[in-house]
Amino acid sequence: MRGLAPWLLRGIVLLVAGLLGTLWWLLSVEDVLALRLRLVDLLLFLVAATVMERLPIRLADGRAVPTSLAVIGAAVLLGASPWVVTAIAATAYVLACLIGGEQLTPRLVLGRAVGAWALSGAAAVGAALGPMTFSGGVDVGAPAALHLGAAVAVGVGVLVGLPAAESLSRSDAGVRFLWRRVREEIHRNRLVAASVAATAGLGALVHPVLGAWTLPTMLLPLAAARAGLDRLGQGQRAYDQTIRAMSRLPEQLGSVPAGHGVRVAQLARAVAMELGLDAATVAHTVRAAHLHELGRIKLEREVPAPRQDLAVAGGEVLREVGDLDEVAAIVEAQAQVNELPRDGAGLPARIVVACCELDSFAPTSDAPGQRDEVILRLLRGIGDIEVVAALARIVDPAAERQLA
Amino acid sequence: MTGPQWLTIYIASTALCAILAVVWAVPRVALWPSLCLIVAVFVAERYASLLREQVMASLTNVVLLVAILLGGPELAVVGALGSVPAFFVRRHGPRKARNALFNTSQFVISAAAAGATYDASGALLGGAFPDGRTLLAVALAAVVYSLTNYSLVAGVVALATSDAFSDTFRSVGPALALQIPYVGIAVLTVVVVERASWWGLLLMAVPVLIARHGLLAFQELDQAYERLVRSFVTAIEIKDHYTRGHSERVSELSVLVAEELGVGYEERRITKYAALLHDVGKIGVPLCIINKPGPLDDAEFARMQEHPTIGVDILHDIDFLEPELDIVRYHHERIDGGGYPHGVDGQDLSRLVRIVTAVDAFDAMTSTRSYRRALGIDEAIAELERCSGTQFAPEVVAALCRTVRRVGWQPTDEFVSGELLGGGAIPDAPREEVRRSRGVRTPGTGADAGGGVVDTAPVDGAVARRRNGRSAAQAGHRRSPEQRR
Repeated sequence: MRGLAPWLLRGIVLLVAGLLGTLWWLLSVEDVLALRLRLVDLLLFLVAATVMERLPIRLADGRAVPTSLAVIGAAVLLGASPWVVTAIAATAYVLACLIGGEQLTPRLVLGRAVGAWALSGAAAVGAALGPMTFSGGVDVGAPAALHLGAAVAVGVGVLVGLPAAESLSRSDAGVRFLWRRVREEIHRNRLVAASVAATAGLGALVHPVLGAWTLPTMLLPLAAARAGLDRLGQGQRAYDQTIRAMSRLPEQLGSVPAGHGVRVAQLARAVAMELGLDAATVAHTVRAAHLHELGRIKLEREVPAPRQDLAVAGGEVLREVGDLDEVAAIVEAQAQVNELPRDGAGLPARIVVACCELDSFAPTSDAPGQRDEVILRLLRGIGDIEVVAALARIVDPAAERQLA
Repeated sequence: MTGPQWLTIYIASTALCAILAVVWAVPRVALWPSLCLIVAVFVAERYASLLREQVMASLTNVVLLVAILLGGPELAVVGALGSVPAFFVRRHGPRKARNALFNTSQFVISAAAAGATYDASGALLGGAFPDGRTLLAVALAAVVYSLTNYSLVAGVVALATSDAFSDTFRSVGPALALQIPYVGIAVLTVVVVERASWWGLLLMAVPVLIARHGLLAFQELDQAYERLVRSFVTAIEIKDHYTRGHSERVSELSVLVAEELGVGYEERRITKYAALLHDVGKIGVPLCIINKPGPLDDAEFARMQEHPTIGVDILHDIDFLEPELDIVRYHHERIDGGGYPHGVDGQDLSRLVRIVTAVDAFDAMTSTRSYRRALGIDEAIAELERCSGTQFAPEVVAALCRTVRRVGWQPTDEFVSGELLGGGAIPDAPREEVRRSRGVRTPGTGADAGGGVVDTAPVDGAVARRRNGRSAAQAGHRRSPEQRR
């Protein structure tokens, strides 16, 4: 069942997107969204989409969100049919990969194509439902024009539809916590998506006036947004990477095996996700897992330290930072891991302690007996069966049955 | 006549020109468009964000370009008056009335010059908005606007400080490149306002506001990041009483020296963090070696030499530090190739590595250790100069000297408490012992570059000798806190 669910979800996403695109013809919106692009315009859109493919916005988790969607959205609003925008989106991605000498990912080609196809379908729905085309009433020159209903539909598609589809088709954890994952994906993407949607609307609005000048000018505000968000994402990555680097400080003192902090953090992330914690708590738990031995740099070196002292000393170091109070609370909570309630630092602390024990005493799956022993000891020691069961599921999917 | 008098004359004449322009413009504009423009300029100035230290990002010039396109130079001149109230509510920057007067005047004059350029080039080139020829006219107006703006500001800065006019004007190049997107945004705004409706501007505002949000959030994050790195460094230095604060001082002074050498903002920022973290590998050197009261034997010295490599091991996967990780890797290397642990020679050491190496040595000499008081600034500089070309890069040593004199850098000699000294006094640097102790290796921090090669390279001069002297001093005077307890 667990293996089947992701494929089922992907199938549903594909089906919905495919049907949405065909609505473009079924609703017969050709005269509302009349094609206002010539062949040379379409080539320019292809060039612009390729350029924007090379300029994605990197979020804090390192994932690149493509900004080429702004160009695709503008083409959709200017009446290009699903076939045309799908071709532009997929070709732009392929060209960008070829130019940059990067590996083509078939999944992403499909993603671009399906996204563009579904977006034009959404625009058709909006055009059929929404108010009439807005047109500037001016005396001189061509008026700017935009179909408001289609524009709103494209906005909703970019802000909600595409991130939701992306997170549904990426889910390899099956259907658990599906709603939360979709919500978090939409939230994570919101600033980039808002910039992209506004840019698409702006491009469609000014195209009747600016013609060939549309693309270079409409992308300027988006480029500014990219500069700001990219820098922010870079800063957030630097912060997290520095915390990971600092997990190696206690390892240099000799009493902690190399890579322990990073391994515990990986395990803790998996367990926290498995338990369905929200994104912020997962992030705090992972940071605390990286830094759970940090107290050693404050204690006397080369002397084994009891967990209580370690927890308190680690908390002290982290409180000095001033921005890591939640993480400090989790690290401190290791000292009294059994007594704390589930909310607050209690649950994350139990996750960190369990992952630490497992990595310290049974780091590989070569000795299943050792692993079972650690699991049993954890059940007695931290008394949180959910945490231990989740950990057991992650290190050995078969172990779940035994525990049950 | 003195400088301040020239400054007053300069500001007064600028203000006079601006008043003439305003007197000319006011009868020619309608009330409501002018009020709208004044509010728009006020908003653009009010929400100008500090892009980074001393660089403000503001959309005022976009607003003024739009005014020129929509209503001619007169509308732009009147609109520029919106910067007066903005000046008094802004959070950053000084608030003096004189500054407000000058700032508004230079906006008015720049707007008038740009407007005149647009009208003249429009008449010369012909064309109807928005074809290529009018776009060229807009671009020309934008260039004239920022050239006027920069010359006026560079003039006032040159008069108010002793900097040369050309130095201040140097940053105009990048600013001119920034005009290209501003021209595009101005054209876009005019199209939306003229051919569609005001609400269309909301579509433009969304990405621009998000850009502003991103930059502001990044600044907050950067400060949080600095606190994070500092806390870790402080936590590491906690064991080694004699080098407390060393990393922070090296970081601060390295950035100043880098600035002196004209290193760009982004590289300076990375240098700040890499210099803070340069000794992080010392965590992997046993405390008994770091605090050993006396010369190190070969095995101990070998452990000590590992600390740059350990530092790189710890920091290697921080992406943004990666380009300057050489600062950590090579901060004990020498120009002549005699340093440790890699023994690479000068051409492999980047400018930033050379800066941090020299500053590291300088701070080690000018801070008090348990075995001697801090050297004076002049004494330390003399030593650096003697090793210039062999141990340190001459251009860096020269820049370091200028920086130290300019900012009035002081030796650090107050932090060793009486408790740590156990009631004893810190002796002055013992010259005699320096001479007697050549060739002995020390566990020092900072200037111990190439300690192992001193024997074979007597030309290395005073820093190496002084350092070895310090180890002799350690043998005689230094007690680790543990021993005293």
